[in-house]
Amino acid sequence: MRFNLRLTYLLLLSAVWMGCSEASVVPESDTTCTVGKCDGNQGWLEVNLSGRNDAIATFLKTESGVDEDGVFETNLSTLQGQLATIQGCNPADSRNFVISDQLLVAAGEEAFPRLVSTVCAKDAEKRWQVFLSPPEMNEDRDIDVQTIEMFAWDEDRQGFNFYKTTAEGGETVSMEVEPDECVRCHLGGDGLSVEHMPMLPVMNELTQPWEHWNAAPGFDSQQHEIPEDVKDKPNYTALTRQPWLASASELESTIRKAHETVANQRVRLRRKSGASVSETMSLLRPIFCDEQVNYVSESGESGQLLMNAVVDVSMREIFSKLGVIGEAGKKWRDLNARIRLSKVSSTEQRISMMPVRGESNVIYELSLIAAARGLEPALAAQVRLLDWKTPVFSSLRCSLWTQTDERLRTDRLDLDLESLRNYDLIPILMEEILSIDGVSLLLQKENEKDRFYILNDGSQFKALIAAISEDSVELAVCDEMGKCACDDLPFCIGSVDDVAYVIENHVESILASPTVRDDLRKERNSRVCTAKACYSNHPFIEGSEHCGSICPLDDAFAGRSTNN
Amino acid sequence: MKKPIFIVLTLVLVFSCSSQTDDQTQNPNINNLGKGDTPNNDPNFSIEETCFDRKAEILKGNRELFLSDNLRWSCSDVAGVNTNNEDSRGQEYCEYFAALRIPPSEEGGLFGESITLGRNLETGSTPLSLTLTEDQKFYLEDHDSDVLGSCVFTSWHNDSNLEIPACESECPQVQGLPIDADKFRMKLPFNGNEAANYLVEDCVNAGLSGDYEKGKLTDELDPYHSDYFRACVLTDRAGGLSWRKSDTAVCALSMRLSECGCVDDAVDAAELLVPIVDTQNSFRGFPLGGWKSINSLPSGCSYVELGDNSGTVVVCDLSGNDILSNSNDLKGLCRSRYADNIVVHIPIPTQAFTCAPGDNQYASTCTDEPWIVTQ
Repeated sequence: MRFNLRLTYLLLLSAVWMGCSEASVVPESDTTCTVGKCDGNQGWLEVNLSGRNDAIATFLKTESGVDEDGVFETNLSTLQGQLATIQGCNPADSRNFVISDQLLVAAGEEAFPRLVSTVCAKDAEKRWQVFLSPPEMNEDRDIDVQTIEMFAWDEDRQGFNFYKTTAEGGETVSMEVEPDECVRCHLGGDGLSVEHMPMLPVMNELTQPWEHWNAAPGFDSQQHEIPEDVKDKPNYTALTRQPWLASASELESTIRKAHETVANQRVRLRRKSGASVSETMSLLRPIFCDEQVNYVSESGESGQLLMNAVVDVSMREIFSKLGVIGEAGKKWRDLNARIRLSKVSSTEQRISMMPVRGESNVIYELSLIAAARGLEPALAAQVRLLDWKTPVFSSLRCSLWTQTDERLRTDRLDLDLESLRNYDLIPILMEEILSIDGVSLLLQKENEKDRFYILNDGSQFKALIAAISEDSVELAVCDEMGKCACDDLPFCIGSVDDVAYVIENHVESILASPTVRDDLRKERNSRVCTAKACYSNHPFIEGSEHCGSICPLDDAFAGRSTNN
Repeated sequence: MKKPIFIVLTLVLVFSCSSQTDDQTQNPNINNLGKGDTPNNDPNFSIEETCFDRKAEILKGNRELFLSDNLRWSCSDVAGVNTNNEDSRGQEYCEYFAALRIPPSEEGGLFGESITLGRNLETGSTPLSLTLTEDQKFYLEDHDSDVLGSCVFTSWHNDSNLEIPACESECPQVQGLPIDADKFRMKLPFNGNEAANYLVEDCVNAGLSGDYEKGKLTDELDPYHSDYFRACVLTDRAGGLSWRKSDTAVCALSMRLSECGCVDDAVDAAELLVPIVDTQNSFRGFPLGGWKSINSLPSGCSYVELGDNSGTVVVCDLSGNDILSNSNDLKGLCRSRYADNIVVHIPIPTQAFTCAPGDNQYASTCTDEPWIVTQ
């Protein structure tokens, strides 16, 4: 019996492509093929691989022996070695990473391992270009090494191409190109427009301690359990022997490199001449909405949790660029800042798999800010400071973008787009997004370049708009030492340093709470349900059985009038 | 053997230990660093709390510092060591900075001079940020994947004056900068062979004499039952700093060697682990490697061959995009991108240690390799 594991939940192989933009369209063929079955005179190779320039396409064209129906013989190790050679690397430099949890098995059953495989581990410029993963269990309860999902970087198109082999018996497999079944799970939030959204590799548990992943050598694995009966299975044993088996720490850096590369390509779209509102809006979407999500966990029994569980990590970099000085915000702005919780005596008590803003979003945002004619850091800061206590899944922030996006599809801007580049539209569209019923949220426009609206509670957005229109927003309250806060206000106006102190106060109040662990667990449970409902590529998350399936991100935020 | 630095250090610490605040402000280990740059400048700093933190990270987190044949920690500084007021990073017997040539302003243009960012000097450091023109930003974006700079990690001890054998022919260069002691040797006063040697010696001596805080054996909840915690508190008394991974790990290993009867002479023990420079056994510094092994570096990193196989200078790639996206603090990128996986190693000559705990208070906790601290 073959277990039909849920492909959509594969953690890594998120090579998704939505052919929505000139810059991101997969080369189309004029014949549609399904699972290796082609009609017409054109051969499978020509139909499916024309215009593709990635390692997998090269392999298929030159060494696979694939027939006219997309069928050939292979297995994971063989394919991995062949792809390494095509990339100009020693096959011995291939790596296998293992995650083991209950994502793909029925409730109550033992965990089953899944692999992510790479090539060229010693080549920094190539190690992130090819990913393979066998997502299924064979009838011997071993890893099915013929059913393989994979993607590879296309040098010409500057994006990932996605493929899948399906076992056809013995070593025989059929190859599918850009299978539809993978699209949804590899896009961003389910309620989001995916227009111009590039595909991304996803490693949900990207940061230490890499919950459920093998972390050795060098680190202790956390919640990574391989069932005894699987450990001795031939495929699993062969794939996880040294030197193939590697630490999740190595995969983290590989994935980050891929994220950076994709982000760079995406940022380039701003330079395109003949400006496009939809393209430029897509460039701004990750500033407001969470296209990807990551998950953080307490490290071992240390009681230490990454600070991005409560403060968006991009704030650290943005406020550094804005010139926060001295002591302001020293706790949360520190690279290695952690929340220190009390020591726990059992794994059940740990804060585990807490959704946080996706690192790929953060990487992209910082690239857009750094780029010439990109996004002004003060504008990015203002966006984060709206509902800043909600570092991820802010329906307020995201609805500002989605409602503007919808409006601009019918209400065209009075601009000569042909004479502009996309980067010319960035400040214009930011103003569109951040103007509510004629009220601007951009203090920077009023020559207040160092000041921001700080909204402590997203539900007070309407009140903030009203106060802005009445010019009655109060300043942050500062003590004699210059430390400022607006904790007692729903919103206030503050400088860069004020903001740093306001966030510092928030972090300190969290840490000082006697119920901090319970508070964080409650927040974690809430986020987990959002992640489960709104992100098809969510990982296995314990304690999410009670969650509903309706994505709350579909709910429009009530802060904007309907006729805006 | 004369130990002027050690004596001064010890005297300062001994005479000021009644006042924790005074202790920290007078500690010469941090006398070149600005207020607010280190964890113990926090008005709420407590050695015990810090040791709980460090223990949590080192023993209860998921990193493996204590191995049979190596003691190790990463180059990344702990939380609290940052750029507030002054850049104080590089406190784990490993300093790091960025090196690059000023990028051109146009395609086909010439690169400018070679510079370093965030490199420690005798006082202060070279600038942290790189100001880019719009044209330079576009250039870097157009060369986003090209390697246009390097993160430099060095564990070359500040008191090691060894020549660079490779320079007998042609000195290796990093981003156009020839390797020399001025730029590639550590600068912070505590990143030296002597400091490490004396830390070992002092922590061994404490173990041999029994003159350190040990807690109550009858109280199972006493935190001093933890080998690491006990050593962490001892670290501060021994002239190290209890919030550093390196100092506490070195002291823990040393204390356990003595508690478990593996050594009977502190000077000998220190010489085995950290040979004093300028003797026949001198070395340049603790070798750098990765978590996988002492000689496996993360992808994108390589050793600068000094000609002595010391493995003390490592460079890691910085791409055009790295420089563009992190121009305000490239050293920070070196820390976040690489420093967690560049690992300082102290090889342990296991054959030199045979342990006979005798009647030591902690004899029952000693294994065959008690320097593998697990609790």
